[in-house]
Amino acid sequence: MENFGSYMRRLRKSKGLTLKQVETQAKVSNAYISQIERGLRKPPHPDILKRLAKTYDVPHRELLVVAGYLEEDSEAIAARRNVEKAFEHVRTDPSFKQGTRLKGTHLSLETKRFIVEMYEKLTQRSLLKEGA
Amino acid sequence: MELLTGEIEASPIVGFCKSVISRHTETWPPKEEALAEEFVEWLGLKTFLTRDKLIELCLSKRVNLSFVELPPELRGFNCSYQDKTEVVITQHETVLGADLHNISHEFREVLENGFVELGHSTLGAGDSLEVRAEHFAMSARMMVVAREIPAYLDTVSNAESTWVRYLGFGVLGFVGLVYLLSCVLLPHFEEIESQTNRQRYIRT
Repeated sequence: MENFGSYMRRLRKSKGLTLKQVETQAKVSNAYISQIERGLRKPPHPDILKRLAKTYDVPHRELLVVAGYLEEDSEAIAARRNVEKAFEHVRTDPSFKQGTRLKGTHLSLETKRFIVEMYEKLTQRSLLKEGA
Repeated sequence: MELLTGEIEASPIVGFCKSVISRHTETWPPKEEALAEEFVEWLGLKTFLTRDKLIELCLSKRVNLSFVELPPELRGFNCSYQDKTEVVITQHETVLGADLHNISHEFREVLENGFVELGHSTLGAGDSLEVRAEHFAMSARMMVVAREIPAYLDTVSNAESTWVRYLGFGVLGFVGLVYLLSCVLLPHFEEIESQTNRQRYIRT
């Protein structure tokens, strides 16, 4: 799994936020966030993660899992892998063309699932139930 | 082979792409403004259209348009498979004019697929379709109002009372200015709205 610091940096960039903006919105020092992103600090306390999750529009649980506070249950892992695998299939199918108007550049699992569902609707194929 | 040609020509989108290519062969690729002008005319867009009317217009070009609950980071989505094309727009758009902007943006991406199929991509090296589609969407909204201004001016200039005419021109000028600004600034308004929602979420 991607390390916590680079995951946080990718998340912030995908939302188009500067360290200063995150500081203002999440009330967390920008120097501290920078150190976390560079891997110089351990993942912050779950309370801080809760504020960052709201700023980055991601589920709190997701940050807790990446930070190592929680373990993703096997069912959730299987579901995530299923969606990722199906999305990869959709992305590489040359007969299916798709485009999005995104806020930022980060494609959440929810968005990937939506795109796969649209693929299933148009192609009459089933990827999520059977696996790609 | 004839059947294949027939199938291709049966698609209104490919038909539109072909006619655009034929009109702009000399100066390919066309500017986004020129493309937007042709698109607005082709689809029959107007300033004030209900969602039902937009769905009807798209359906006339064999594009299924729907307004649904989308994942938070998505404003619009388009996809094509064989002869089927879908455009999906978020149903929670709070910025005025955003539906038209989103639809135009998605159509621009669909049209690009058509141009590529016909061997006439409009994108050069380093060009971003996302950026071009935003430019196209802004231009399309401007073209929509530009097409309607003469009719409004005509109506106002036919008013009998002088003060009604002046008032009419004043209102038209003000509304036109606000509309044009909204076309250019819509992405910024959306970003502000998105930030405000995030702040509200943080506060609650």
